[in-house]
Amino acid sequence: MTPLAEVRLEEVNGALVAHLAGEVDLSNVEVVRATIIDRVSAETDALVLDLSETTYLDSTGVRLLFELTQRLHARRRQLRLVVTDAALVRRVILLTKLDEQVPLHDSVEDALAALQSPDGSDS
Amino acid sequence: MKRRARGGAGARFAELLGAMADAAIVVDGDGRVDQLNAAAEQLLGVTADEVSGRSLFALVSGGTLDDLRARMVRAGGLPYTAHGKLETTVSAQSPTSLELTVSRTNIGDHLLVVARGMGDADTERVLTEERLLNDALRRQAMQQTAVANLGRAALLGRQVDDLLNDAVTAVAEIFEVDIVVVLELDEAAGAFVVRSSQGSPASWIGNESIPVRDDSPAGLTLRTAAPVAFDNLFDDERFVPPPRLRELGVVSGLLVPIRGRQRPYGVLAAHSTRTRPFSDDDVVFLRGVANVVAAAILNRKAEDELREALEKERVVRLESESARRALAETVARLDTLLNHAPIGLAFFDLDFRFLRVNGPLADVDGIPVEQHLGRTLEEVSPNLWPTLEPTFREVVRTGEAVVGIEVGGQTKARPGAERHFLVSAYPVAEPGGGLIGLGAMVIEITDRKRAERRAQLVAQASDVFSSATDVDELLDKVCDIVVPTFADSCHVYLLPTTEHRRRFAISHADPELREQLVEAEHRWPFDPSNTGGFGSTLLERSTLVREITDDIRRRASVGEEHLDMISRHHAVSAMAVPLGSAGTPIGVLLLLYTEVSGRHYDEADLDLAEELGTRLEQAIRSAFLAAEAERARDHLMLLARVGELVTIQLDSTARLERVAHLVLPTFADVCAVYVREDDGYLRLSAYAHVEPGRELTPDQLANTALLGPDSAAPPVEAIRTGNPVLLTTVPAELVRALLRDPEEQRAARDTAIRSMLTVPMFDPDDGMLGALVFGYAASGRRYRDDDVPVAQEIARRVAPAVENAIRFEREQATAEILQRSLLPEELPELDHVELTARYLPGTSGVKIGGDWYDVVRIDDGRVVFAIGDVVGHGVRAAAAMGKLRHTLQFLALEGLTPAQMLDRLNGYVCAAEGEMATLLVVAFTPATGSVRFSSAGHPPPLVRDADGTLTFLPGGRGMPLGASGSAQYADDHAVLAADSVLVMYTDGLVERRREPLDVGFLRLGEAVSHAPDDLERFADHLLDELLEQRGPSDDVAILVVRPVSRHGALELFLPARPDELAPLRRTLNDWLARIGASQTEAFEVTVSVNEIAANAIEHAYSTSESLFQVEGSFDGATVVFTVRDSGRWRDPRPNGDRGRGLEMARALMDEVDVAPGPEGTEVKLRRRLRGAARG
Repeated sequence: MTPLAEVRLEEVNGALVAHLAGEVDLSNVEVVRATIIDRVSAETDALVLDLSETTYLDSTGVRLLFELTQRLHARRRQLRLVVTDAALVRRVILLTKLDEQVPLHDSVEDALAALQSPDGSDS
Repeated sequence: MKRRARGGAGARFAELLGAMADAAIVVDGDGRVDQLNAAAEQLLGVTADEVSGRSLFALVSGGTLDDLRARMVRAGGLPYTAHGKLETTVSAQSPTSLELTVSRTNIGDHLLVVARGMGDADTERVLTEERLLNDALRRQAMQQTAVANLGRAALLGRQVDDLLNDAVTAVAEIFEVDIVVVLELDEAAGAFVVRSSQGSPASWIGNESIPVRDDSPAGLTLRTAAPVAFDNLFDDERFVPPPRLRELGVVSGLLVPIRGRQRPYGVLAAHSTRTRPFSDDDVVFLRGVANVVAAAILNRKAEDELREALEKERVVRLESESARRALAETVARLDTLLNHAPIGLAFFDLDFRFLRVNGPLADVDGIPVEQHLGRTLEEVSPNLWPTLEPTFREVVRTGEAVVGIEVGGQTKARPGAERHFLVSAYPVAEPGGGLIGLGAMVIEITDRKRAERRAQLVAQASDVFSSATDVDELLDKVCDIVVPTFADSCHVYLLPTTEHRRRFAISHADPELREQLVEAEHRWPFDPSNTGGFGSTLLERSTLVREITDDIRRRASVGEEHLDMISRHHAVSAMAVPLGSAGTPIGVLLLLYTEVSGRHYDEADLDLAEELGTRLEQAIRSAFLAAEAERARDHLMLLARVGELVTIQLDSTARLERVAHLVLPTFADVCAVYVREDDGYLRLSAYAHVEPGRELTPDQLANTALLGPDSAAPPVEAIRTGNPVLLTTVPAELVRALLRDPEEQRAARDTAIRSMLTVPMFDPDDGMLGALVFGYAASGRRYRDDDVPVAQEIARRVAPAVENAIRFEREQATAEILQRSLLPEELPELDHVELTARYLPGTSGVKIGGDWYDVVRIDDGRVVFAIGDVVGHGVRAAAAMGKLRHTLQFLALEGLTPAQMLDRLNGYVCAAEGEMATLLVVAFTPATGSVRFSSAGHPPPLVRDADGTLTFLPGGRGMPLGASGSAQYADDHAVLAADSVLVMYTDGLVERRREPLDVGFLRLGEAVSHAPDDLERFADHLLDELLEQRGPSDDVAILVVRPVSRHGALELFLPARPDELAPLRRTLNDWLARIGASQTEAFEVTVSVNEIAANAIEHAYSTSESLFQVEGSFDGATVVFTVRDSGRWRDPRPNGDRGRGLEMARALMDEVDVAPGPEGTEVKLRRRLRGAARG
């Protein structure tokens, strides 16, 4: 059967960009988590999670995002989210106040640019 | 009046004369008339001219005029009166008698005569009176003379008895009486004794005792203390005539008391045998005599007393004289002895002044013999006197000798040197027995004392050295025994080595000064390379400084303040002895005398100091060795305890905590355990500090930043190199370099680690697990090279525990994932067949067991159910199970019968030498209700008909898979009618320890027969009825099937598996779209329902293959969803994020009602759909 979600990873300027396409729920959150964590190494400066193609995200997925945040911050790394304004999942993110801990960006380019300046703004 | 012309005075006198009424005549010193006044002319019958110049005595004569003449010649003072007869040459009218009063005038020797005439009768009377008066006067004169004579005699010392005799004689003569008596009062006898008498029997004198009677004259006299006179003894009412008086014929008498000092001496009595009246003059006289007598008696008494006193004094004077003489003689005899004796001898008087001293003793005092004499011992030897004084006084007091008193002190002969003497003192008495002085013998025993003290000191030191185990205690005790017998101040210094820190001990007779010295030592530590210019010689050989000079003090100091401190110490003499062999001494022993005692050291003292030093050094080395041995012992014990601890069954975190605490304080003040994570970061897993306030809470522990693999921190280095990191001292820069965060730097400074030892924890299979960090903080200890093996050993023993823990946790994670993926993702939707399943893992160990079930739908409408139990637990069992399942699926789709499938599976299992397993395979044709089944050692399924009949299906039984390669399997048949229930289960449902299986089957039957119709509730009921509250020890799986027709709007029964969520979402989306919700609404409702569903799944997670129900209905405006789960609340996940889901649902829906119930939770969600209105 087709997986519920797909994670595509690429490195850009020392930052890891994870494109998450599909749905994230209780059934696959662990796999998604493992996939991302495996790629986060000592060399990774920052992580950009691209949720622009995420079609479903509920509290389960948000929990993963929170965990990633804590993990990266403990290691003094940055985490940024890419969520389009119109996206349905944005509602969920705002509801859970995740945006207060992680900056949101409209696009991957924006997120990457913000990483360069220390007090990156969230658009 | 006629007169001769005179000067002025005379003229005035003549006037006076003329004015006088009485006859007045002025005569000159020869008695010649000078003047006379008119009255005189008339009296005498003459004129002034006739008689002027003629002698008065020619005119007047007779009578007492002769006297007058004589007196006139004498020209006495006071006026006097005479009588005379007038010569006839004058007229016949002149009286024949004249009274003449003569007085002086203030005119030369002229006299004034005043004349008065008298008649004959008067003259007669006057003459008689004169005669009587003369008699009286004559008597009076005699009396006075007699009294005066008596008095004189008394004064001249006449004996009292003689005087008394004189007195009675005089009285008798003057009174002209017969009997005069002196009565002495004997008060005790109450009687008189006759002391002297005239006229009474001589035999009375001294013998006759006359009782005192109140009614006798003598008694009365005594009683009244007043004179008593009587005229007639027999006619006096006061008296009863005493017999003696009667005997003597006394008629009248006069008595007077004789006074005594305090009481009357007695009575003086004059008696007459005729009636003789006694006049006042007589009384006066007698009293006078009595007074003289009394005075004489008193005087005699006083004289007697004086004589006695003088006599006594004379005697005493004679006695002391004789004592002094005796003393001087004795002393003289001793002189020869003294000067030839070889020991010190001295002789003292009772004031402890030197009377004699011989040469040897004088030399001891350091002053010549002569200068001793007359001075007290206290003056000559003030240092020794306080000890000797009590002894000397005792000798004087008791008169007994005291032998062998030890006296020690400094003498004037040799100041600064402590000398000792043996003194004996003995009394010296004169021949008569009285104590006259004190003798003393003195022997000097200084050398003997010194040897004694040396031996004593050495013995004391040996005691101390053999009993002290602690080096500090040792040093303190040494200092204590040396002060003050051998020093006023003692210092011991131990030089620092790599193994031992610098140590010192100081003692001083004055505690306050000691405090100052200790403080000084902290500020200016003793440095043997800079001590009074001696340099390193202080450590090379023992040194004696007899006299400490200012120069030495200056060289020993490191600054003005230090010099001042040293000077205040007032040390005057010192010795320094190195401890240990030359070249490698371990320290120095320093002994000092100060001004307090004023003593000084000499060569003999240095010997003793060296001996002390040698013994002290040996004792110190022993103490160090003992300390080492103890340390090693402690380490071994620690390792043993660590080893034990690791075997105890604890979860890994608690075990690490225990280890971290165990090493405190024996091996560390602080201990930290770091565990390595997958990405090479180090996490602080356990932390212990010897001070309770410095421990970290679990939160603090969790929030401590991880150490990155590129950090310079010792744990990272230890892991990277695989070698221990020993930091004997931790420099401050290292702390700053390790921790960039100021907060963390401050925290590190707070722990104040001074010395740190880090060792990696290594497992041969798993590589680096982490690192152990040991630190010493406040205790001041430091890690040494020989601590490293101990630390490594601890790490070696701890590592397996850590490794186990890590592995266990990993396995848990893996197993959890496996479990979720190996059991069916979803139960297929079957037309007209209701289906539910449950799975509970056992409570022991890993949360996954070997039970499994499966439902395979075959194209032709048939369904194959399988339920099995692989032997064992854990990942292996799970994997085996997975393999079986997949193989079975394949075989099922091939169209084989159940028996055929088992046969094939058995072959595979035996060939692969895999785990044995039981397995039940049921092939069901819904259209016909036919059931074909076969069992490989698995418990028989149970059927409940619509009417409640229970039937076990025991047929088709074969051996478990993998038991034998030649096992045979067979199919059996049954029919499952509509609305009847087929229950498949694993033995965990029916098996109980110590219970026959049959009982379990009976129980199962009971439970099934009473189970509710709703399939979910049915399954729950079975679990409730058949399982212990806390869950089975073995896995349990249940598969329940009921052929039935489906009806209703949206009614879903879904297994509580995460994989069910996505299909649920699709179904919801479809349904919501069909009822007209907008895309957003559909999304939001789906999310909400999904959240609740996820809750339900999480509740059930790790408990079962429970089902949860989702019902949806729409009344045209509001959509209502009901989610029911039968989840048992077990082992809640540690994170609380599920609450977030509920929050989200509440935020997205209009209403969310959560109703927990005994059989599960029911959540109702409502939302008005506007999209519906539009559409």
